[in-house]
Amino acid sequence: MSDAWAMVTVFGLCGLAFAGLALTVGRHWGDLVDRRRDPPRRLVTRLRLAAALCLAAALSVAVRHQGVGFGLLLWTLALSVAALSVAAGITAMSRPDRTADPR
Amino acid sequence: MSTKKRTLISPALRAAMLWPHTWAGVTLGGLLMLIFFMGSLAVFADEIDRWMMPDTRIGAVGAPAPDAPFSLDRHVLPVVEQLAAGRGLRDWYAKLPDARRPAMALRVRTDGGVSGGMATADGRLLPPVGTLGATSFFYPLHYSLHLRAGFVGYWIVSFATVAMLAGLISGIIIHARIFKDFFTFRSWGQLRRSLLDLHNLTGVLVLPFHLMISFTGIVIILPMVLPAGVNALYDGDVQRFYDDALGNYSRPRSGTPAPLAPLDPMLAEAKRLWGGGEAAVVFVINAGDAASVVRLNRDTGDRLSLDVEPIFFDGVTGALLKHQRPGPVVATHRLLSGLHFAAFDHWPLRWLYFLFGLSGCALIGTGLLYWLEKRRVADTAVVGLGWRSVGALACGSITGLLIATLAMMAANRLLPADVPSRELVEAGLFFLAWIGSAIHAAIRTRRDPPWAAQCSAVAALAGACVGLNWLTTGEHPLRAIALGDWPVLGVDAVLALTAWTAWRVARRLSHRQSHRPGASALTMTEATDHV
Repeated sequence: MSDAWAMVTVFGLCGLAFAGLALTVGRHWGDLVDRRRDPPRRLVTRLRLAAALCLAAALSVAVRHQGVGFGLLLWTLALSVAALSVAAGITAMSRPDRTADPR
Repeated sequence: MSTKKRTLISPALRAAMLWPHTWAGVTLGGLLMLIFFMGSLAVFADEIDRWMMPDTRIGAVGAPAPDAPFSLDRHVLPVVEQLAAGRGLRDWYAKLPDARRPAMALRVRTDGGVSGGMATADGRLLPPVGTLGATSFFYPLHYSLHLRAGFVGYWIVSFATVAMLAGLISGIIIHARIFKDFFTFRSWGQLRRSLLDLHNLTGVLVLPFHLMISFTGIVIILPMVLPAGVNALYDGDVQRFYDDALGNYSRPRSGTPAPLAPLDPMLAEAKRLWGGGEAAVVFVINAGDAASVVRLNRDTGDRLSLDVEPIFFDGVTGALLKHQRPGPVVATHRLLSGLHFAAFDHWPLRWLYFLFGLSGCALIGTGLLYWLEKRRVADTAVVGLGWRSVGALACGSITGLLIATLAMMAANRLLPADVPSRELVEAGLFFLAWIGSAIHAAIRTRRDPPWAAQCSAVAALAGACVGLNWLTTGEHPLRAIALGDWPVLGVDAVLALTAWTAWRVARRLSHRQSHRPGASALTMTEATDHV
């Protein structure tokens, strides 16, 4: 795996993890999936587990390709990038003019 | 989770944290904005230098080294002699060329004063650059505010940094629903809510970087901020402390003249001692004296730590004087400093540092704007003096700072090369433009700070910088791509992006104002979102 692919993998896995975590938040679940009921308990547990696995995998890729120091630093900063991207995506998808019932 | 948190952080604690958070933000927000913005620019100081010093745009970055192997004796010493111009040489240093900065930078102290210059890797002195550039203006502004006398600027900056740390932590305590609002940014509806969302988002999601950068920023100057240890063990003699801790070496001038031994064998020996790795800086202290010392610093591009592993040679005999590995505490200090400096050769990390530095600006800016929105007196023409002061401060430190920086870069391309003390004129224009925009903000802030006008000025100046770079150096984007001159292209691209964003913000703001008089500045978040 080349450096560029490793970088894409790290950011992608972090993004997946935060996207999963975002769905466990009631407000975003409501906006994006189902406004009538909360996310099912079991799904929340599974999403959280998957997110943890994705983050761990991202860390392992980062450390393997960049070394411990650079890998940890890159992973930590990638967390912020991924979380901000997920937040931006949610904002774009749940704008009131895009969803079915405008307030 | 929430029940546990409710007992963990009581409403009383939250309320107690709110006023220092607010006061620190409102009073020090402008200063912190300057520190974060200039720190972000400093990440790309070499690239901005290359943009501001067209004569140093030699060799495409990353190009292979010149045919002849680089030699200190044949390529550096003649330039030093040229810079000394016959005056008695005392000390000098040269930052050696590398892939990122193909020109070397020299500084020479003679009996007749200090002079500096840039030279090519094969020892040709370049014409005077006539600018302080990012390395000597934007970067020192970041950590010393150019107030070097008595380290006043350092103290002010470290005080602001401690306030930043306190602000970050108190902000987390105040924030009532961290996990529920973790990803929430409602860009629609009430401006006040959008601003708070953005403030929380940058504060919470980029928290690891902000904590790290603020903490390590203080750690760098720890011996100055917490001098008790040095005072007790070294009687306050910082020089002796640094000699011991950092493996430095110093000795006074003897007064007996003696010639300098060849430098290249020392360079080879240093590379052997480092076990690989390149030299980054060569210093000659007490040049031409029997007590002369040659110091070689290792390049730290391949590691996080700022451990430059200095090696000291006797300048006359060429014998090794000192090569001391740091102890555990110093190694930790160097690692933390390295995390802050980001001197490593890692482009993705450099961009992340730059962008997250700007996210710090966004954090502070949205904080100031939220304060303003929350205290806006609805539908009255008169606002208080306090509100107007904070409004003017916010405007002067957000758009004013951009105007000043861009004005300096435009002046850099406009001023003829033969203006006396050209670099000081440029720096003066920076401060004039800043003071000017602050006064403009102070006068024009009635119901709103003059955001639209200043955003237009930002757009015009940033666009002008790109155009002027093209006109005065002939290096337009297509040519930069053809030459592979990515640093200049990158600076131009960021300038163009700034111009475009500022222009759009200015248009939307004036559009709204003309359609709904008195309506709030709905898109101001965008102005703090970019550079």
